Amino acid sequence: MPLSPASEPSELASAVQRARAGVHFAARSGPSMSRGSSSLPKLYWFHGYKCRSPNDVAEIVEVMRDGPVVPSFATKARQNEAHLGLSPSVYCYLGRAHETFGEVVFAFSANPDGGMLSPFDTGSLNKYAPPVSDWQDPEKKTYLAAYSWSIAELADQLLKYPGTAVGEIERYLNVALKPLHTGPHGAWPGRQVANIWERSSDWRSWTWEGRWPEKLSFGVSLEAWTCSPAQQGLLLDWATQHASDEDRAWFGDALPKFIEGGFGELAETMRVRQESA
Amino acid sequence: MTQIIGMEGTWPDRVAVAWGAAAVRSGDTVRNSFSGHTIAFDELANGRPTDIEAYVPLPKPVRVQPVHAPKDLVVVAIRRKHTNSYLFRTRKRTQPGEIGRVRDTNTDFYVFDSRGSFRDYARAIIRRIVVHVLGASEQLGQGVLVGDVEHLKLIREGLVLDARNPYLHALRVALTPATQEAAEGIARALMQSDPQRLRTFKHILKIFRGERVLYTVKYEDGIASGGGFDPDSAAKIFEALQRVLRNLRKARAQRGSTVADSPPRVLLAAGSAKLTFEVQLQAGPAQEPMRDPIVDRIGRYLEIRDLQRALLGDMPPALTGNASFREALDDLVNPRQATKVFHQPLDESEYVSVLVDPFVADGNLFSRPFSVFGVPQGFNHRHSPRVDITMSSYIREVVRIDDNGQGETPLGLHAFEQHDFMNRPFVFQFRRQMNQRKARYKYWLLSIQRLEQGKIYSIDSVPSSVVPGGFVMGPTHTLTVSEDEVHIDGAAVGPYGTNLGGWTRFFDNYMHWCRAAEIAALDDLSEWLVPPKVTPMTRVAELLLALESLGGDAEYETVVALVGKTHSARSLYRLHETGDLIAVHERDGDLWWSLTDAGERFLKVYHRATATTSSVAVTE
Repeated sequence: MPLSPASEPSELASAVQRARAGVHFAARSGPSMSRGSSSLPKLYWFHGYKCRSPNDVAEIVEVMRDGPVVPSFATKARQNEAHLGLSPSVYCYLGRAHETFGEVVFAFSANPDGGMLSPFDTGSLNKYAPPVSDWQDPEKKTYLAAYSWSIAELADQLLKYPGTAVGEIERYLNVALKPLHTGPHGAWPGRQVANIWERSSDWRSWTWEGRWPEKLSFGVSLEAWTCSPAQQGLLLDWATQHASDEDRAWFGDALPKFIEGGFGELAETMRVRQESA
Repeated sequence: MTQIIGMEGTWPDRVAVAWGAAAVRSGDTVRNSFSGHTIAFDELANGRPTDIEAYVPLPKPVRVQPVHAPKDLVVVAIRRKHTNSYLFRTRKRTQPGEIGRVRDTNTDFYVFDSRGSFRDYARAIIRRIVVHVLGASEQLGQGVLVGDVEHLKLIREGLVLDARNPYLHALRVALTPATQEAAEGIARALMQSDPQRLRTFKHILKIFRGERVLYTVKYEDGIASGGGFDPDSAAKIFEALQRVLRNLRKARAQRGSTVADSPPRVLLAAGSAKLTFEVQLQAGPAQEPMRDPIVDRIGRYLEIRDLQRALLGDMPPALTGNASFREALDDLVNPRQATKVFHQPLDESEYVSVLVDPFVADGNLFSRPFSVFGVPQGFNHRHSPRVDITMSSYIREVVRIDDNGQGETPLGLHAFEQHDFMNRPFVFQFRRQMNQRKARYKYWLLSIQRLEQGKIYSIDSVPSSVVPGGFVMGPTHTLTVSEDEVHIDGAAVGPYGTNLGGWTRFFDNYMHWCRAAEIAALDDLSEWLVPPKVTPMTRVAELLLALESLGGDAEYETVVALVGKTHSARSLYRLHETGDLIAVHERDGDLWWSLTDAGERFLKVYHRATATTSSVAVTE
């Protein structure tokens, strides 16, 4: 089945997008930016991904369509899971991706069932989130259990951290700014105390993590995606010459959501989009 | 010391060129130049990629001078041994914005100071690729394209630099007959969010396929009142057109862009006032020989597109300050005041008004910023997005929303991203730009606020009910909205609608409120911002001025005679009935009119406003 010609874009939305391109701060400081204090922020989940081979671009579409699965090869994530007693999982991060330099990343809006949440990267508990990273594994597991919720509770937990005010969301989305609390216990009083947010200098220690055992599917909730610029020509060739009609049609729907410029560009574009949502 | 140690992303070995955010090392941390995210240098396995982090290390670091912000740096990498990689390479220090380069045995790395500089580089390289592929694949310069695998590979490499480039996509479609439909679908999907590129793609594809691409400029009334031009006017129009095209062509050549050997074909049908521009000199089906070369057709297309853009007020940067070009353009689109000029943009079916900016750099006056109540009631996205804003029964302005007059977007522009912004109440802040020489003006939109219930807003200007098209600037009024009403200074002005009719009724009420506010403003330090050519356009003003000229007290029949035949006596009588500006009384069996206090104040406002036509504006 060939790609049908793209429907005409929402003229206004695209014109405004063009008008806004590169002038994010003008919009941010606009007078009507204030969000009602009761409404939840529009934050997306991000999943970063590296192809088995950078040449194998068909894999990108496969993951985008069917969702990521736990890699079959050994990674640092498997080691971390062993320390913390977690089952092998697919990881996503709320508001931004885990990687600083990446290859492929997807941003999506759904909250697929079956996942768990924590207000830090669980990997950081083994590396760069003192004092917990200096603790023994059983204590780490207890700490992690105290700050783990099911994905269905996301909305309730966001009210506690980072909050819903514009300033709170902007602060959360700015990796250079730590939370105002010294650790998660500040947002969830009565739970185990450890000043991991104060003592860590790595922004991943105060980033919401979502983890889904074995597999994750975000389906049509894909909001934006990117790959390394060097892969984009190969991807277009694959879609034109080698994709099945079904894959091509599916890929055609995902193309308008493509953000050119790689991982860093997507992170910055989505930071601004989430701030002004 | 700050150094660039790598480029974000992965780089498949069969791809000649790559680019990405710079990995900027500063002490123990490494920063992504696009996102600003950081990672400890040790986490990167001492500068090597990991199973999570993806980046390509540079053979040796490039030092960053403090003058270059690490926020926007871009790295480009080129494998020299790939076929045609020479097309991507440039000589050292020959490209603006390059702040360093390193190489190893197989690879060149260029570092650019910003994404803007990188885009300039990409544009120049893609131009090279397009010319190279066209030169090699066009059969004997006769407009028929036949490509081979190498050309397609080269196009693919070009798409690495700009995935949404319309020229590369059009070439890709034209050179792959077997997968043409798929390639076109992919191109359209990619460019869906960028209508301008999508249009260019369609045009270029038509040119490649030998189809006609036309652009038409049409004159009505004035010099074209008889249907066609008179010989004298036609000569002047053509002379102005040649000057405009000459300037556009020169500017294009200066930018290093494609310029055709000969200018576009311009057709003027007998007895008509329509100029039709055509890209092809020799049209014909693909099989027919003797068609003009494709590169020339693209050159002509670009020239016509530049003309179209100029007629929409979007000048090439090199020509914005060029007085002779502005004059030529003005002669082309303002040949005589009563002449209306329309154009039918490339490949479009409808005519639209031309929107030439009649301003010259040395004759501009800018008002101070002022905020007013308004309602968006239309949207036009052609070339530059514009919103049609109604501010009173007399004022409806079409303003750009992609430029506040200083190259930035207005504050709060996101309010127009919501699907339901049309026919909703807003407060807009504007600045008026006026050209005295041409007696023309336009508004720049500075900020946008959509009114929400329960919040208090302020406006410092209201539309003038005395001088149509003008504004009273100061004092400040508070503005709130309830579910269905607008309140100004605490008083309900009237219910508003969600459609044109509802708003028309609202603005009738609003103008009554404005008149009271305007007359009250006479006592304070208000200013009036009025159109450059003030004429007593409202019937009320016309009537009051006539009555004033008769000493403020005159027989009704005399006033009517003075005002003239444009209004019937009945309509005039009805006018005064609705106002408090004229007192009616009987004297010796005749009907007499005299100005009331309010009428006198109205006239004072009128005289004060019209006397300050130019002085109210603040020169910047």
